[in-house]
Amino acid sequence: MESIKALEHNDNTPDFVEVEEGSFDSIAGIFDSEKGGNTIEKELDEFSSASSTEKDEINSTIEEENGFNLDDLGSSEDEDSDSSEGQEEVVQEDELEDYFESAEFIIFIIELAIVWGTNYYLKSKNLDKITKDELEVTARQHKSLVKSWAKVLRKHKAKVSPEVELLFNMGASYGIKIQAIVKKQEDRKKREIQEARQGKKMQVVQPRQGKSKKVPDKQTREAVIKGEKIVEEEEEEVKGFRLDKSKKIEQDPTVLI
Amino acid sequence: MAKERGSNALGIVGTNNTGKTVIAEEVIKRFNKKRDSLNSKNYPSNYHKLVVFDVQDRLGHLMREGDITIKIGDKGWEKKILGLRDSMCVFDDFRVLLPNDSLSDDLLKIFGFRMEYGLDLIFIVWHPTLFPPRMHRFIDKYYIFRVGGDDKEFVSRMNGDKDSLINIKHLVSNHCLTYSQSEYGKLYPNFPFVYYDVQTNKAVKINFKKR
Repeated sequence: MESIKALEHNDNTPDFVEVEEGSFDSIAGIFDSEKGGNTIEKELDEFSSASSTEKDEINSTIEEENGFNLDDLGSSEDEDSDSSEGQEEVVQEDELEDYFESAEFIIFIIELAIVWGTNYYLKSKNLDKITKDELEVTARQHKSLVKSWAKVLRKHKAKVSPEVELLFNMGASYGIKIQAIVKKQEDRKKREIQEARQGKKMQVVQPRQGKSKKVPDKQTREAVIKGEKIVEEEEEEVKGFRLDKSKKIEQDPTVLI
Repeated sequence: MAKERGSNALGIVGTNNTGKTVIAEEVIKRFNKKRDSLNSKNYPSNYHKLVVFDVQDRLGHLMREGDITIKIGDKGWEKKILGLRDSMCVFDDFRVLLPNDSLSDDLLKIFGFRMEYGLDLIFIVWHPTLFPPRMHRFIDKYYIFRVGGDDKEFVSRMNGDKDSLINIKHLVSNHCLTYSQSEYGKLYPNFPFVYYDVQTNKAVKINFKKR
């Protein structure tokens, strides 16, 4: 045993504190024993005298009352063991606020996906396409959707989950670029349509023999304008996200160089 | 196995890379050994659980099915702990979980009911000043690794006899100074620290090798 003189900090300083040599095992025994106490004894007595069915009920009640989640370890392998099933957790409004922004974004993306999917289906049935505006929900419905999504995010403990964060970043990186490209294309097409309507000459390619190609006749020019109009109308139907359809025009045999 | 009423509120303090988490692993292993020796069918599902707050994910490998992980930003974790019995809660880098100094009502209840519910609480911080005010009064045992800084600051948020604690701080620091950084690393997993019991004012040197 080693005694150490106390440093003199005040008049009431004890002379020393006893410091022994020891091992971890000698001090860690405090964690080895089962814990007792009135509450524990009472609960264990009740549990041990209960039938098998009653024990299951006790455990179910415990899990519901305490909101146990078998999260992280073990539960991912067996979904049935998720004790959050069947229990209704009351979520306060202020607890969801942190998730509203990312929930809004998810709903925006999903709406776009729904429009595309629906229009794909409608087209296959030779039916009229719909626009995003036609799918617009009421403010109340929208709020309810946001709240539901926020609950999902909160359940998975994600203020901004990695997936949403990825969508954010992709939206920021690609969305702006796509918008700029599409706008440029639209402006170009509008100019071309205007020029075609005004009957301006198309760009002429000079062959080797010095002969020039004929300017397309009116019928051909009108077909070109009509083709462009169809494309333009299709683009107008999808607001908020424009697809580059310029390739369609390029494949049109009436396009003139 | 004989039952004992009570619980332990243990504070593990020490600067970075002094062995705090390593010793916490040893404590958890002992808890796991205990619960392995008990037939879980004889106990309700809220018994013998391990709760871990572990930002750097160094303790996850010791957890079992049904154990609880607390993550930053989680709400209601205090209530979950209050529902447990004969369980262990380990908070590594505790201050990250509790960024301000306020103790919630439920956290205070945990301290109040820990004896009755048999909850062992282990808080790991790199300096005692990271314990919220008042909370340090609930700590009854310490594992003190090397801690730097001012003595007065050191004891300001420590429970127990201040002079004894300062002595221990210097004892550990002086011993650790005899090692170079690489030599200290080679001590793994037997890093030197002092165990201090607040109630008995008793200290035990662990892993102190003669230099």
